[in-house]
Amino acid sequence: MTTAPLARRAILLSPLLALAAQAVQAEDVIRVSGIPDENPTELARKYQPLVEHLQKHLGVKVVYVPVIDYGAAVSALGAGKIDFAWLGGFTFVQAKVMSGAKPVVMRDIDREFHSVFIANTASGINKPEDMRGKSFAFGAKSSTSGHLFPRYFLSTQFKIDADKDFAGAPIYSGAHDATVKMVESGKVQSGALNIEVWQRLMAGDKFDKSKVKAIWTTPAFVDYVWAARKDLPAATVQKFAQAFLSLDASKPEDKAVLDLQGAKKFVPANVEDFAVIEQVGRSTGLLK
Amino acid sequence: MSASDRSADQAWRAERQAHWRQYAMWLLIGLSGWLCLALTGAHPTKLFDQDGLRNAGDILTGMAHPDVSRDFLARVFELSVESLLIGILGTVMAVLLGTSLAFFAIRVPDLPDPPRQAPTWVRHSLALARWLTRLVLSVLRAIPEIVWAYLFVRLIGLGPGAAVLAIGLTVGGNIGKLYAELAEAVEPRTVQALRAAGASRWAIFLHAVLPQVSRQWTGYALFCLECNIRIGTILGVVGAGGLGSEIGLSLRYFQYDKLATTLLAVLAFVVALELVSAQLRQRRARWSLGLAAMGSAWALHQLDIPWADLLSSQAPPLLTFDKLVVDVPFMQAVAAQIGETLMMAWVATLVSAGLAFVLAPIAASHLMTGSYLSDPPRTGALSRVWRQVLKWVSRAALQGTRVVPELTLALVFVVWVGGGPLAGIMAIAVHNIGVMGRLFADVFEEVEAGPPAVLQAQGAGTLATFLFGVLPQVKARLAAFTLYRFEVNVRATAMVGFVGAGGIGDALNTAISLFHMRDLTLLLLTMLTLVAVVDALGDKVRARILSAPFSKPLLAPYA
Repeated sequence: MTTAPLARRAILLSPLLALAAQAVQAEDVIRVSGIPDENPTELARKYQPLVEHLQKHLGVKVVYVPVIDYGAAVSALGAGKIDFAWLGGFTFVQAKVMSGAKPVVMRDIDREFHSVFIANTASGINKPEDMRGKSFAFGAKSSTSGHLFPRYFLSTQFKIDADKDFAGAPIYSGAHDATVKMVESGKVQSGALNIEVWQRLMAGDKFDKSKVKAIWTTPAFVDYVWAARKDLPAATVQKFAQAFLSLDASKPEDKAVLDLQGAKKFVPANVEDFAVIEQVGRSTGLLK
Repeated sequence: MSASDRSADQAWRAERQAHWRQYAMWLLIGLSGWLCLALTGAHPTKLFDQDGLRNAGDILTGMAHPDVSRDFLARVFELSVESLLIGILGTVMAVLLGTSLAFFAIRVPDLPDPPRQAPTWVRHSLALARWLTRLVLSVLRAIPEIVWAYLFVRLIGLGPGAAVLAIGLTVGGNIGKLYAELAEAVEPRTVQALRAAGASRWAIFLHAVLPQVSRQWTGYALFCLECNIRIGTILGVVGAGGLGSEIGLSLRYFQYDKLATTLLAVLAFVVALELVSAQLRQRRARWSLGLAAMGSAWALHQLDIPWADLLSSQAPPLLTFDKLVVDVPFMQAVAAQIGETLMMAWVATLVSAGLAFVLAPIAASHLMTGSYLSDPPRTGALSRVWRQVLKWVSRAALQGTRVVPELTLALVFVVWVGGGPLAGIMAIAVHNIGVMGRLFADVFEEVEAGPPAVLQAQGAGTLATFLFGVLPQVKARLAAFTLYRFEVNVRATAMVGFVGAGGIGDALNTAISLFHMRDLTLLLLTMLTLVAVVDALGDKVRARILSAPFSKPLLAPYA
């Protein structure tokens, strides 16, 4: 076989060139990310002002790295591809168990967070017990308020085994707003999601409110938290925390950031708060 | 009754019995399909019940109004290019990997009368290397692209790199196995001549094997390129770059207008690709190699792949071999999923084989619009037009179903009928109508023209010519192809399960997304065993169906 030798050599060499190019990369950048619990447009809208605020406060370039999978955010934090991540309670526990991630700050609402169960109005479901034998949608598999706690409360409060007592296996919509869309369309009759997203959607006009109703709100549990990767210098983490703690709802530009996050203020997060999630994770079999 | 009469009578009875046996077998196969369908719990009526029709209507309405806003078109274009580059770079990687593995996997034919034996330890270590290489090849092949892609997304982060590596590994496994088989099938005399002259393994490979197989190897690589670009359009659903992320998101949020744009882009793009590849097939190998080199240089420049992370990734490990105790309830669940996967693959294969069996002859020129006779009688103009239309409609159906990857179809069917086995069966079946249609059509084109020509000369119609002139010649080969596709479909079923369409893929997805490393390790080991067993059984049964030697290399160009 006769080939132009040059072309053949180019194939062999090119990966090496790319490798060399990768090695030179700037370091004085802070990369943040978050679990994709809503659609990318909404996430971009929520993160943009926050990134600007951080940039101003930290004095370095802050880059938001979008991910499309909960687990990807966890492993990116573990692999050091991002420095800080906005994780759910359960994804934080995964990151803590696997790569020693540390909690930094959380919103005031995250200490006492809730999930809400919703149903299609044509489904005849009025209370949680009615969901037995109906179809059901969780959010993402790794979601705290869209899967872990709804599953836990279904089993402890209503003796409903999510894998056996619904019509068919439960569906995983992938994100909170997608769950509402699914229930609205009637593709599933009921579902569970993050109460903050639910309230925000109720205030907007993204879905037909005559088709979906809330039927039950769960007891409180701890949820979302900003987590830092294990090997960040303490000073960097401290500065990052301060950037959030200093957000003041009485200042208009701070309020804009807080409003988008659905919070009045940010508070320090403690690792002990998440012990209960680890326990619930193990008892439901989601954490192994 | 004379002795000769009696023996004629016996022969006739035996033949009739053989016929009955065959009918009984077809009946049994049909029944098995029906039984499997029932056991998976899939209700095909869901396609057309109230919800199904409404969902289908929603999808079709969206499809009729593709989103052609400037921004979105620009994004789709950019992602299409990314998918194209993923396919090219993935294929180049696969070919490099496959060729180097094949080099070790090839058994060089020995001289009938070797002048001196190589020392025992050399022969043993060569045999060991061969065995290890084959093991690596089957591991690479057994795990579907999407699983590799998801694992690599975890390892090196989001982006096209994960897709390139996933394609490189899975397809590298396929290519390695096939290249080795093709190389072992070469004319042994050249090899032996070099061997007798004392040439080294490398020299034999370069001067005896390579010249004989280069054409087939390039042909298969081009075929893989097409497949890989297609798969590059969908791996993005797990975050691995390309159009897939848009397809996944538009389905998640029911934005069918966006879905329409994306799917149309895939279609346009794949058809263009087929045209280019048809051109390349007719030219010399250096054209393909040159284009591949240019493409991969462009891809390496354009795609931002963190190669270094592969070696130094601190990502949490995804496989674990400690605490690998057999957990009975988990293994029971896995056994049930394997059963479901096999049944889904079987039903899908039967359905698609049945439809392809009808469509392929209609798409064949000889049967529909031409004739096996050199001087065919003239037919009416209306009938001619009608036949042309039928032929092209059937060809378009086969082409259209073939070019859409199973995964994309699975995503659409999950929206249409909901998650579960039915969506998976439909996705595999629809894609395979096209694949098998093309395989069958090629088989029909190759028949001996004598028998159908005789029938046509006596005035037999199209159906009669097909049933009594063509079919008897190719029956065994059709069955063998179908069986071969079943083997491929077992793997494909595991893949579509990954997006919620039933079977073992769903369990794989859960294990990766929740970081259940022990479960993932067990599942992957199970997959390996399953694929190995299905392949081995398939080889045996195929050898029985075709008494003539018939090996995968003959089929593989369409694998």
